[in-house]
This record gives sequence, structure tokens and C-alpha cells, in this order.
Amino acid sequence: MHSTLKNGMDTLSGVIRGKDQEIRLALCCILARGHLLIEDLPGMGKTALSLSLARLMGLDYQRIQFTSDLLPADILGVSIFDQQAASFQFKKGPVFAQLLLADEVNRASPRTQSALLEAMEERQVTIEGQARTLPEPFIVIATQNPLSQQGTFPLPESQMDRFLMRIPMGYPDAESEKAILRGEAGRYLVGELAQVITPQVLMAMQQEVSHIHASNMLLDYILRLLKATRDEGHFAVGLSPRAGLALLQAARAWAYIDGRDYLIPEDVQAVFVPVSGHRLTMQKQGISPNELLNRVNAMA
Amino acid sequence: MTSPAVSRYATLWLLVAQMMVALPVIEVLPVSVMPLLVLTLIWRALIWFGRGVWPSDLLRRLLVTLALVLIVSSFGLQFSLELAINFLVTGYALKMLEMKTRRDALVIAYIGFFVVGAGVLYSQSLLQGLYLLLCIATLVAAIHAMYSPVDESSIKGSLRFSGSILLQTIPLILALFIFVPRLGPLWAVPWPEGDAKTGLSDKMQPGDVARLSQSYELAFRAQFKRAVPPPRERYWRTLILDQYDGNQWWQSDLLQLLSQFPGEIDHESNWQSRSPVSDGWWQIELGSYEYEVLLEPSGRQWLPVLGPAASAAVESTVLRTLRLEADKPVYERRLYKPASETVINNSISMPPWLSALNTALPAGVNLQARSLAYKLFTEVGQDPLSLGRRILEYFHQEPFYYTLSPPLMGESEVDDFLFTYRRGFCEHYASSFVFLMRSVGVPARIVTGYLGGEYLPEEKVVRVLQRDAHAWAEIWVEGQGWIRFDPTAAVAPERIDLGLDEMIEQGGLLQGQIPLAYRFSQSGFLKFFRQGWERLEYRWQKSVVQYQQEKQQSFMKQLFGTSSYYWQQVGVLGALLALFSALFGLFTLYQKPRKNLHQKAWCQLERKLASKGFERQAGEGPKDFARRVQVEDPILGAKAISVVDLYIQSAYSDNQSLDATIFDNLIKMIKQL
Repeated sequence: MHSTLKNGMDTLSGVIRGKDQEIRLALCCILARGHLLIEDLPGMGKTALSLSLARLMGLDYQRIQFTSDLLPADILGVSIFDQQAASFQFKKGPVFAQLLLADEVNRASPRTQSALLEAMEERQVTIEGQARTLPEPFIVIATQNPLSQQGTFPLPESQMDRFLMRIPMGYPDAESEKAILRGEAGRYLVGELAQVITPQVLMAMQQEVSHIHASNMLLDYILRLLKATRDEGHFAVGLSPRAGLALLQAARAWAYIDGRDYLIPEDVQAVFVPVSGHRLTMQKQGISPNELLNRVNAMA
Repeated sequence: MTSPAVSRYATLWLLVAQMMVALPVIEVLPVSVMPLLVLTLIWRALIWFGRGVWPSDLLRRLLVTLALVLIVSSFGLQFSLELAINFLVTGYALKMLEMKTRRDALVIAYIGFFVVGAGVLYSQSLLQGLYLLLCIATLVAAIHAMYSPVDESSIKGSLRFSGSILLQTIPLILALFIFVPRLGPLWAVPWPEGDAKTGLSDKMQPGDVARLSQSYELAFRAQFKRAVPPPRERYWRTLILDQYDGNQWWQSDLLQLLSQFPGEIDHESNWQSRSPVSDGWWQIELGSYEYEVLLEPSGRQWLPVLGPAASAAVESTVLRTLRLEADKPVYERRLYKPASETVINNSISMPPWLSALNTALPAGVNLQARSLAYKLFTEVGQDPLSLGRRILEYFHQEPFYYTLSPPLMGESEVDDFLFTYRRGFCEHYASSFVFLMRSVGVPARIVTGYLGGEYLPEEKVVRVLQRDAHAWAEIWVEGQGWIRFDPTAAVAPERIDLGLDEMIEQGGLLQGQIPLAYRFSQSGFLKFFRQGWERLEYRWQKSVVQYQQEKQQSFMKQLFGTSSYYWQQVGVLGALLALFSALFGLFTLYQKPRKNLHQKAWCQLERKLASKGFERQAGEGPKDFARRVQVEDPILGAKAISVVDLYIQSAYSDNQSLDATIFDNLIKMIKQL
């Protein structure tokens, strides 16, 4: 199973050049059953990444472009009166997909945002008093543009918490960019991607991830990290116990990708910044999560 | 990292502490600075009540500048203790106006402890000690209030906390008090000259001693070993005044004498010089009183002694006027033991210059007095001793009165006193007496000091207040030396026998105001209480405040029986320090979670690698660390990686069955590294 994963990652990096770290984090997020928030400027390959992931795993893919006039019904779906059947027929919205790309999620009104975010947390939606289960697996990849803040509704902390990770894409290095320009990589290749993993395999992998062993010493390390975010006044609010769970789960996925069935401190360190970055509000004279990682003793 | 704000509750504590702490040093603050401090306090209180705003940066700067100007204008730029304390107290008060965060509040609390220390400089009495302890408790409570959550803070809780903290420090306080070597001061602040304590001065004008009689300040205490002299023998001789200009008496110094009597003063017999008394002058006899004196700080060098001084105590000299002088001005309470010998005058004749000095009078004034002196002198057959007695008789027979509020006298002071007003305090009588004696060529001089003192029988202590100040005379009789004459005794014998207080009680003072403080101090219960307190205070001073180098040394000797006091002390201090650090170490060790086997192994590995120059950074995980080692040193790194891999498997994996063998392997590999 591990080789399948490696295989998939190689395939992906053929399309998305020079972004191995991001690909791995995105994969890790999916394996940990989390949702991913990608924060970067347009044209950095956010859509390409999510599309490739969908293709790679053969997932049912939907994309919603968020705008300020988008309504919850546009996401969840509506009941339409069928004159022939003389009854209301529910038309599923784009949320009923296995992988949902929510583009520029901060452009929609809070009401619409919360409709999506509820679906993310509960993995089901309630429409007209009827709960409808979303397909398995259900993964949301949302993107937002960090710069243009005009006319946006920034996600509040509580909703940021729904995303397991937040990662930036960043510019590709010169060589990868050259390859893109030459046409050896890029989004148009996505269509040619072969499916490497089936949704069933993915779900099996997710199952395995949650069984990865975390020793006492490692849990102590996580506790030290959590405590450091809370105690020393570097951040306005420290990490919550839920964030601690998220950190552990993400680290497990990271270890799984590495092919280990136990956690080591490096796994936690690899995912700490993407997992905690959007959950912590930095104080004026505080330190970044990365700096915090350097300060907390990994070995006690 | 911003510090959290200070709770209203903690601010209140700090304000109260500030007022309490400033009280002992308030007498040092000049009148001009006081309003500023009161203003700051009111301002801060207004902010506390939500009625005021924080001062702007500019305003704060202005306030500080104003404070600096006020302080410097009242003390000058010369560095003195008062100046320093004023800076401290003003800074302490002004800092309240920018106290917003806990950090500021902590600074204020710590400055508070400093101000408490400054309070000790001004008084070391028992009451002051207790009060300062209360101040410290308040400050600790304020710090506690700063750190306790708002909804949990209570006055009682903070007080209980600070009380328990103070109680815990008691063993440490005692140990440090007893064992810390008393070193001399490393630096000293000059005592302000003009602002000397109330007390005797080396100049005497009519009215000086009378003014002192209003002061209830303690001058000194004397504790007697065996017999205690009766009040009429308690003449505490302090200063000899032999120069007179018609109004003022003062003590001559060597330079003055050299210009007055050029070539006559041989260095060996220097008048008030520091050279010890040559034996030919005086004869010493074992006296009957053995006592030691605990002198309050006077800022002066002279030391009161019962009768003429015979031999020097530690760090002091006997001058040729037979008074005791300390080597340095007395700025702290000083314990000394004057010789218990009595001086008997020898039958040596006086050198001409000395006789000239002690008979000198300004010409042309007090002519009436001069003629009176001649008249009396011829009456008694030109005998100095008889003249002295005759003058006393004169004072006794004529309507002379003893009063605390003598009238102002004119140019011819002695004449005015002797023939017009006939009312005066001891210095008037002494001054006139000496004038009369000198007019007929009998060497005479003024002696100032204290007379009497309150006797506390339980402690055998005589307590002498500034109000016991007295002036009397000494005349030279050929063959007998200097003889004491106290003209006051002729006018108001009850002053001598009973002391000022009793005299007032019996109405012995004519036209003298009875001080209010006196009236209060005399009711039965209060008197009892006051005397009890006095005893306590005396014990405190003698055994605690006076526990200085000498006493410490003798105590250590008692404790260890050897004389190598210094090393004993250092040893004890070291042992105490070791004990405390051991306790502290045990405590922290107990608090620290214990390391498991893997962590111990890892520490061993880290030490191994550290000895090869590779330190793990705090945030570095085991694998990253090994990789970094490999980058810098491929051979060692390769080994390190394999060890770390094994370690990771052993420490982090779930593979319990393999664990023991892997762990043994790991230890072996670490050792081989």
C-alpha cells in the first residue's frame, strides 16, 4: 500500500513541479481525513493540485467559485417541484462530491461559509429538515487569496479550526517553472493523469493512519508544544485540545507516508506549522510557530 | 511580549503600601516636594476611581523635570543622603503615574523595598522596625495581589500569604543576622552639616540650652554595673567652652590658640589637641561607678562622660580639657565604655598662656558686673574658692529666678541679667558666674553637658534626654585644679536634685511654660507603659542594633571557643549556604519528573556527540540531529544515524517484544560510538 502511495506522489510531482513538500502535506491532510486550506495568489497551482489529487484517487470532483452573492442553496442543493411526479425532487448541490474545491472561500457571505463549514465538520448536510449524508470520503480543499481583502469576509478563528492544515503554495523554483513554460508540466497534463489509488484504498489507508502508534514520550512532546503556545504569552490564544488531536492525526499521516508505524518527533515537527499556523494569532512581540518549534525541546 | 495589566485591586495595595513606606522618610522631604507627591497620589487615586486620565508623555516629562528642579533647589547639587532619598521617593511616587502593566507594578513594589531600606537609615528603634516589617508585609501582599486572579483576590488572602512568606524567612533572617560578617561600609554618604541633630553645640549663646529643654529626643542611655550615682552627681561632662566674646561661648581650637598665644604653646602640651594627657597633670583614682553609654547619633565627635574623662575608650581620645572625643563624628548609635576611674586634680600650676586664655574677657562691657566681682572678691579675702561660694550665695539671696523662657538681654548681657532681669536658665547663671570669676583674674570656663536623667531601676539604666542639657562652670584653684561650680544649684536646687520634670511638677519653675508633651507623659498608666516600652527599646538597641562587629566577634568566640573568628564565621556561613542550596536542590529534584530509561540513554548519546562537538538544538528531533551530524562529519554521522534509528525504534515504536534486545543493542552502540 505504501508503494502505491509513493507511486502516486511521484505521478503528482510530474504534474505539479517543485512542490513535493506541498503535495506531501496535501496528501497527508487527506490521509488524516482533514480538510485543507490553501492560501496563495491566483495562478500558483492551487486548482491544479486539487484537481490532480482528485484524478489520482479517482474521486468525484466538484468546484465552487465563491462569490459574495453565493447562497447556501447553491452549495447544498434545492428541492424543485416536479410537475410530472407532482412532488418535490431534491437536486443535490456541488457539496455532494468526494472532493470539493471551494475557490476563494472568503469571498462568500458568512452565511454561505457556515453552510459549507457545517458540512465539513458533520460530514452531512441538513436540508429542509432532512439530514443527508455526504459521500465517503469527503474532502474539502478551500483556497483563499491572502492579499485582496476588499469585499471579503475573513473566516473567523472558529471556522479556521475546521481546516486541518493551511499551506501556502509559493512560487516554483526556476527549473520547475522552466519545465512548466516548456509545457512539460502543468495543469493541462492533469487530464492525462492515471488513477493510482481507488477511493476504497484511500479509505483503508485512512483507517491505517489512525492506528499508528504514538509513544508516551511523543505525547509528552506534543503536550510540551501545546503548553508552550498557551503559557508564555507569545500568542493571544493557545492551541485547543482539538488542535492537539489534529496535530497528532496529521503527524500520524506524515509518519504513514514515511512508511513507519510509529511516530517520531520529526513527524510532529513536519506538520506543526501547517496545523497550528492558522489556529494561532501571533502577538505583536510574539514568536512565529516555527520559532516556537525551535525553542521547545524535542527530547525533553 | 506585553505584560498583563495590573488589577485595580493590586493597584490599591500598591497605593496603600506607598503611603506606608513613605512615612518614615517623610521628614527628609522638603516642603516644596511634598505638594508634588501629594498631587501624584491624588492623581493616581483619581485614575483608580475612574475620574482621571493618564498623564501624557509630555506631562510626565514635565513632572519629572519639576521634581528634579525642586529637589536640587532645596538640597543643592552636592551629593548627600537626603538628595538620594528624595530622588528615590519622588521617582517612586511619579512611577505610579505610568503604572499600566504588571511589569511596572513589580518595579514599583521593588522600589518600595528600597524605600523601606532608606527608612532604616533614619531610625533603628524597635517601633520603627515593627513598622517597617508591616510595610514589607504590605508590599509582599501587593505582589501577591498582582498575580492572583481578580475574582480570587481578597485582603485576607493576600495578607495571609505575605504573612506566611515572612514567617518562612525568619530562619534565614536570623542566620544571616547572626553570621554575616559585619564589614565596614564600602561607600559613605556625607552627613548633612547644617542639618545636624538637635543637641549640644560647640557654641553657646544664652537661650541655646533653654531651647533644648523643649526636646524630648533621647540623647543617650547609660547602664551602670554596680552603684548608680544620685541625681546631683550625674553631671555628664561633654564640652568645655573657654572662649568668650561678650555674647557667645565656644571651644577654642588649636589654630586659634596658636594665633592668640604665639610661641607659648608647646606641642607636647597642646591645648584641646588629640595628644594624650601627660601623666604629670592629673592623678587618676579608681572610681566607684562602672557604666557604659549608648549614645544616639549626634553627628558630632564629643562623647558625654560622667565627670572628667580619665582614659580613652575604643576609637576615641581624651583631650587635655579632660573630655572624651571620638575619632569620627557619631553618625550611628554608638556604644562605649568610659573608664571607671575618677580624675583627681594634681597640684600643678597652670602655664601662663592657659591662665590668660581662661581669664580673657572682652573689654568695656558689663562694667557693673566687674565692680561687683571686685567688691565680692575683696569681701572674701581674695580667695577664689570663697569667691565662688560667695557668688552662689549672692544668687541665692538676691531675687534670682530660674525660668525656661528668659527675657532678651541687651549689649551688656551679664549686667542686664545680674541687675535688671534676674531671670534666666542655667546658661545665664553659668555664663555670669564665669564672667564674675574671670573679672578678678580667676581662671574659669563653661562646661556643657547633661545633668541627671531618668533612672530606670529594673535595668540600672539612666536615660538622658536632650532636655536634660545643662551648663555649669569650672574654676581653677591653685593646688586643687579645676573645681566644679553649678550656679544653677544656688537658684533652683530642685533642678539638680529632682530633674526638670519633677521641678515642673512641684511648680519650681517660674514663668516657664509647661510643655504639653510633659503633661501627657506624666499620667500613671501612660508613665508605666512608657517606662516598660523604654526598657524593651533599650534591650532591642543593645542586643539587636548594637550587634556589630565586636559583639559578633565575641559571640562567635563564645560559640566556637576559638579566636580565629573570621574563618569560623565564613565556615558557618558557607555551611548554611550549602545547606540551603542542598535543600533547594532536593526540592527542585523532587519537583522534576524522573527520566525514563530511553531518556537516560538519549542523554548519554547527546553527551557522546557533544564531546565530539555536536550539540543538539532544543527544537531538533533525533533524526534531524543525526542528519546534521552526517552532513558535517560523514563517518561519525553514519554511525550516529544507525544509532538514532535504533533509538527511534526502541523509544517510539510499539514493538514491545523486541524492545529489550533493541535497547541492549542501543546501549552497546552508544558506548562504542
